[in-house]
Amino acid sequence: MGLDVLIPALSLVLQPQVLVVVLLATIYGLFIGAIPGLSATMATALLIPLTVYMDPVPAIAAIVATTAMAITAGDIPGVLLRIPGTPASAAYVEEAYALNLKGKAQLAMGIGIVFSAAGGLVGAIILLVGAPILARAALNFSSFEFFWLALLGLLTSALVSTNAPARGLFSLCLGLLISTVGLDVTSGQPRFTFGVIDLYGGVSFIPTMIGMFAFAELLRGLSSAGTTPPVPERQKLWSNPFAGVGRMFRTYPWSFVRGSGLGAAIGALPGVGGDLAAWIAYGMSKRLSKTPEKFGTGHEEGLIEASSSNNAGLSSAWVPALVFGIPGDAVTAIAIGVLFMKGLNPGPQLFVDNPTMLTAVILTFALANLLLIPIGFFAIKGARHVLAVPRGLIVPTILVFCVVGSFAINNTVFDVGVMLAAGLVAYLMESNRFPIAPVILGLVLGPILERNFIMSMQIADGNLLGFFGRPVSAVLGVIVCAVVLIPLIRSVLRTRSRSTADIGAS
Amino acid sequence: MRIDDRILGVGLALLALFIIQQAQTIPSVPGTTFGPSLMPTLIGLVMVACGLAVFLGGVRSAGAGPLIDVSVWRGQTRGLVCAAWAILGVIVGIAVMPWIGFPLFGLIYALPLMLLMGARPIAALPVAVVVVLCAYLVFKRLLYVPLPAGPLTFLG
Amino acid sequence: MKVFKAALAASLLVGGSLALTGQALAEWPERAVTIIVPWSAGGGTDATARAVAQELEERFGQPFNVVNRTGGGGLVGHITIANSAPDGYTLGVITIETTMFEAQGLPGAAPENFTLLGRFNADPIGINVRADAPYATAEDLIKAVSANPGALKASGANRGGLSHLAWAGLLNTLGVDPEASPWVASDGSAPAMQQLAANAISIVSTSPAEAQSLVDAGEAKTLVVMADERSSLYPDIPTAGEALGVEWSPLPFRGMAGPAELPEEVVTKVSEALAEITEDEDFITMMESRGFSVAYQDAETFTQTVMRSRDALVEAMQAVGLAQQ
Repeated sequence: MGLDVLIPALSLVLQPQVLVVVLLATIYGLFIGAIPGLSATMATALLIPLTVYMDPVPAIAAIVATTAMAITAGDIPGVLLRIPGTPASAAYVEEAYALNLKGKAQLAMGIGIVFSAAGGLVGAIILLVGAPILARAALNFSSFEFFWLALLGLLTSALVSTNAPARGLFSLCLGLLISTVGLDVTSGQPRFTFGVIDLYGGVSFIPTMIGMFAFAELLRGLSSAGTTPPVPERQKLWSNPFAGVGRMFRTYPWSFVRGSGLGAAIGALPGVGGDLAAWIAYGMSKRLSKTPEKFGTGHEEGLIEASSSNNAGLSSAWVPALVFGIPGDAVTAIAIGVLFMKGLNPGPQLFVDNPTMLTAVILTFALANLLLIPIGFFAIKGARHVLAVPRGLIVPTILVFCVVGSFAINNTVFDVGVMLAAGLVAYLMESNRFPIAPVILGLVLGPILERNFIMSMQIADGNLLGFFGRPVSAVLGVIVCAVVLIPLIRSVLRTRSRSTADIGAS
Repeated sequence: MRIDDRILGVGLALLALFIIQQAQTIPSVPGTTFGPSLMPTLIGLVMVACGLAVFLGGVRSAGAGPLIDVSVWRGQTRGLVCAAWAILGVIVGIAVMPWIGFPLFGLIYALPLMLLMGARPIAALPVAVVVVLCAYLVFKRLLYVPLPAGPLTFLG
Repeated sequence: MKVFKAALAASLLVGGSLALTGQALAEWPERAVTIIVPWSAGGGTDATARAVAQELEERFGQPFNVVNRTGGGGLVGHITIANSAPDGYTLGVITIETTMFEAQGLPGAAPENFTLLGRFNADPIGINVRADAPYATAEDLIKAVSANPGALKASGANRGGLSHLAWAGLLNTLGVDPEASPWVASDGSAPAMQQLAANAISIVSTSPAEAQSLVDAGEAKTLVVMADERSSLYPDIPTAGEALGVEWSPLPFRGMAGPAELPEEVVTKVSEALAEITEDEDFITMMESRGFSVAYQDAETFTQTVMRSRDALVEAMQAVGLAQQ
């Protein structure tokens, strides 16, 4: 990529409208992320109805800024209350809280914000450089390769990132099934519409997502934990929240490099996404540390590694999303859905047709991560006040936005019903340990998977060997088979060893 | 609410069978070799397998806890009332919003919930009014979403 | 007077804003108009619809808001336009698919369900192959198709979509079995062009504008357009008559329409405004820069064109086995 792309892209990003949107989105993300029980995914879900009405660059910028800030701000209640604000910060919440108990709450939050921003920048650079290279290779991908890639992304999200494969797979199938509702794109025949005209266009994914991520989460909060979390004690006025953070870069340079490298690598795998990166990074930091015994007692090292991997993974999760149109986690799945609605179909062709727009989208990652630092400063200062807002005011407010946001997509109350139904289903699913993210991935990727599958079947005249007929598709096909077979073999072996153990015992 | 894996697994497998049966009724465009019913059928088959796997997992760890466990709801009367309000409010809202309009519905929906959740009336009333008005005006004026105004036509 | 006031207030309270729209049209449009587009944002129909909406807004001094209602190969949006209140405040852009739904067994969006207001664009469909393909002319391609039935796969739209019909109809007109070149169903032309670039299929049937980027990149070439005369935007591409000696010109159109029984005032005003817009220099430049030609027809001519193309298309659909009956 040359300057001929970079400069117009920069001018697309550095517009007052985009900057204001990013600023507002960052503040909004900070708010939602800092309140325990409201996740980064929920922040994104509620934001989508607004972004649908924006131009692509500010829309994606808003999504990126919101998630980056919400995930980073998720560390704040972790430090102050020992309640992780988002699933990603659960990996190191004990460590962060231990630092608070040592009187270093300020340092813990400072590390969270600065290293998140730095990790995010690393991820953004990898995205900026790596994605176009990968896209060039993917230009000659046919429906066979895209079918395998979509399947790989879906299966990894369903199998690898949950510990109950059957449940993950079921969630995924549910999402895929919902995606088939409506008039079939390739044949125009209605499927599962049961005569309801509103279903002819399919189940809109935005109300579904608002229901599953926002409404269901609120229901869970209402029906189980009636108690409000404690308000943190008044801390003494902090002069500079970032004092001492700079020293950390010098003391633990390798933790930062490893963390952001690992995060970027894990995030870029189709179907894996960023949440997992923090857990792996924290574990690896402990294993490779010179002083592993200090972990868990308020030690900075693991915090640095996990924080940087967190946001690096967040950025690099967009590599498969933009290059192949295969999102890695719920947030990128949502964003991909928005891009599709704007007619910017992610895929290698987009890098040829519209490199400026794409580069601009990627540059917003850098912008959002840079903004983390100043906004984060105020976040640390004001954290106590954010956490002190009564839950009784927040939850109904969000519910109102769930309703209006669902209505706004197609201007129909039918979608409000979709939101409600999705919320109830997700509530029941999660109470029974079914993961929700695969449903959304299935919903977004379902049409892509099906279209490429049907096209490939028609090209190969129904011969499944045709799916292995091209070199790249053969390699991808073998990887997919391995992803399916390895856990299966392992669970069979485990059952067998357990039954032999039983025999031995008796 | 937690359902025992044995019941759950069988239920899900039956649901999947129903889906497969429904998929067979999807008509196909003349001349299509791989038509619109293929994908739903395949998905249904995988879902049957998942349902059976959940069932078998339940059999293996059988007997732990009641068949339908609602213990998380016990002692949460107020929370359950709030949740019921949140759900029923939306159902009623779908029916009446075209007539009473979004602003009135939003207020009737949000304000009592705020009070139920223990917010002080002095804070809840202004917050509810401001939130509903903001939501309404942002979506209607800025984004041209035709939210029903109801009797409050002066809001535009 | 008091009674009247009270009645008015009551009707406002009860009927809300609906009561207002029911009243006689003083001077259309007195508030914002919604334009429904049955295809996704960013596509060709959406781009042209937005350009038209902007011009209408300037001429009538009221917002014309474009809303995309996509799905089902355009059926959802078409049905939405047909089912909206015939008050002139919900209009839409319809495409040639409206003539084909009924024959496919999908009712509710046939030309009779609309009031047609005027056409602003019509671009013929072309036949595209890989740039390195061994056929220099359309004739070579047809020979190759009939010599190896089933080998050369074609794509460009859903099965039964206009692109499919155009290709199958061309083969049928030439006396070749349409099944000799099996159709691979795709969601529009973009994925089909990607398949062509990846060498997974051999033929893409789509408009030259939508094939442009791959043609420019040296990956594809357009052999023929199915039209009566050469396009002014692509003067080098021969017509079906020149290249193959047959008459076959299924011409996709984009036009404005509203639900059936729209007030006469709205029909006249929109039709006249479209006439002005399609002569506007800026509008023409914008359309041509994206490869779309400007082709105006007033409400009456447009209605005749639509009815005529329906007859021809349904006949072709039956001939190639795409109609329900």
